[in-house]
Amino acid sequence: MFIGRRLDGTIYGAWTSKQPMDEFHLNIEEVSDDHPDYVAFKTRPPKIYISVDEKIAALEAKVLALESK
Amino acid sequence: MAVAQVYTAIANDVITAARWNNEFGNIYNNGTDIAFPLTKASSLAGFTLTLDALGVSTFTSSSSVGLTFTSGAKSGTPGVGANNGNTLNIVSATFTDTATAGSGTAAEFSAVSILTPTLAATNTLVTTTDAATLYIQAAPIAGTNETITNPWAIWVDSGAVRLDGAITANSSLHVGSLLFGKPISGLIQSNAAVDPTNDITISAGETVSDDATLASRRLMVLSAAITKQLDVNWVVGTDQGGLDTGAIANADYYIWLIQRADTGVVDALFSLSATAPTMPTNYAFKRLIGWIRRAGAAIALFTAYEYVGGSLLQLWTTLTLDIDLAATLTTTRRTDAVRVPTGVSVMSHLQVAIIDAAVSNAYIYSAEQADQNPSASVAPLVTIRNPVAGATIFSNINIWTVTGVIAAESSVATMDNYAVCTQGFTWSRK
Repeated sequence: MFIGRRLDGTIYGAWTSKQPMDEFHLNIEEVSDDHPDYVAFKTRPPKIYISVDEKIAALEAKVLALESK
Repeated sequence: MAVAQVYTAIANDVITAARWNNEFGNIYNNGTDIAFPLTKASSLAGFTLTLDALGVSTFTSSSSVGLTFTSGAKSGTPGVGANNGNTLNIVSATFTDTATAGSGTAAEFSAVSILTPTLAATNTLVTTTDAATLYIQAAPIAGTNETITNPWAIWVDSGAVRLDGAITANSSLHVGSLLFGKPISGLIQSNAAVDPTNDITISAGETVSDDATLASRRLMVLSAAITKQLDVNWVVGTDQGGLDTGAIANADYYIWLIQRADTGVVDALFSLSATAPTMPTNYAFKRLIGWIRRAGAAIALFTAYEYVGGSLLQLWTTLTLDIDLAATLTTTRRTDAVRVPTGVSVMSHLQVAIIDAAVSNAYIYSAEQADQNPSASVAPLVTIRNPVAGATIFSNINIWTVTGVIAAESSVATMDNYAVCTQGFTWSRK
């Protein structure tokens, strides 16, 4: 398993194949499949996406709460 | 010319010494003329007819062999061509057709014919394993002080050869001019049953060596399946070592079919090289037939099938996330390697996923194609589209890879996630 790290040490990508040596594959290192950093990257929690409608609804709820005071 | 009688005696003649000596001297001095030319059938009665002054070249016939010609040792100028068959020479001759009418067509002609022999047996139900109308034991062998560069058992120096029957080649077939390219049939690899961690089994099949010069190409026939060991250096035969050089490693290995130049023996070889494996001694012919990956100290498991025209369809048993990028795919073209051979052109079968907070597109394509930004309305359009913000979109795609990499770019500044699984690949093996 190959992983690529950003300058801050976080992982930006993982590959099963050795990658080309180019600007898209900086700071590549080969690690075992059970390397904790790779496992953490592989199991990273999904990003929570809030839709515009959900945001509007949340704001409206807060306004209603303020107005009801 | 027959011997003529010198003097014809008449009644009451006296046989003088002179007449006696003239008559018998004539017979004695011209004795061969008595026998030749023959005026009636003659028989050697099984005795040998000696042809030369040294008494080594003979004809004889026995009860079991119709005619045995013994050349005996000869010496002189060797060669082929006119009058230079050093053991038996059939000199050029003209045969004149006096039977076919003018402007007519004769059905056939042959200078030397060997007609159909019949092999019978005194006892019942006799079987003969091999029988031939014409048998040639072997090519010339080198004697004292001699080296033969190219020993041929049969040499047709010029002219087309017509064979109306089937041809059986039990060894290598060296064809100076192939009418076809580099055909391949069979020769499909699989994880070996006994030791799948280290061994590969290759099914029987045949192909042609990869020599650039047509005249050098050999037909290579693997008559039975063979199992080779990746963790042992190459030794001829099945259930033997297969690695061309060095020690086994976690790496991609190419599978080669190889053939000895002298004996025609066909075997298989593993090499890190897709172009120039380290060939065993005496093996001069090769053809790339397969590819495997070793990772985590084991050959990755796969299933391979023979596909259209002898091509290879290889599917990984367990899929892996071969590309997994977080906030890295951008509007700039990038290339990433997937789990396919890097040294040959294959059709990669991929499963891809994108996810982003915004409605987004990704263009995933062959690295051999030009850089173009994805667009929902103009070329090159998109490979995969995420129409709902925050949704994860999946798609199966096929992309032609030459060096094992695919290209991709996003319609948004940074795609949150871009992932690819390689299901397998199809390889023409041509």
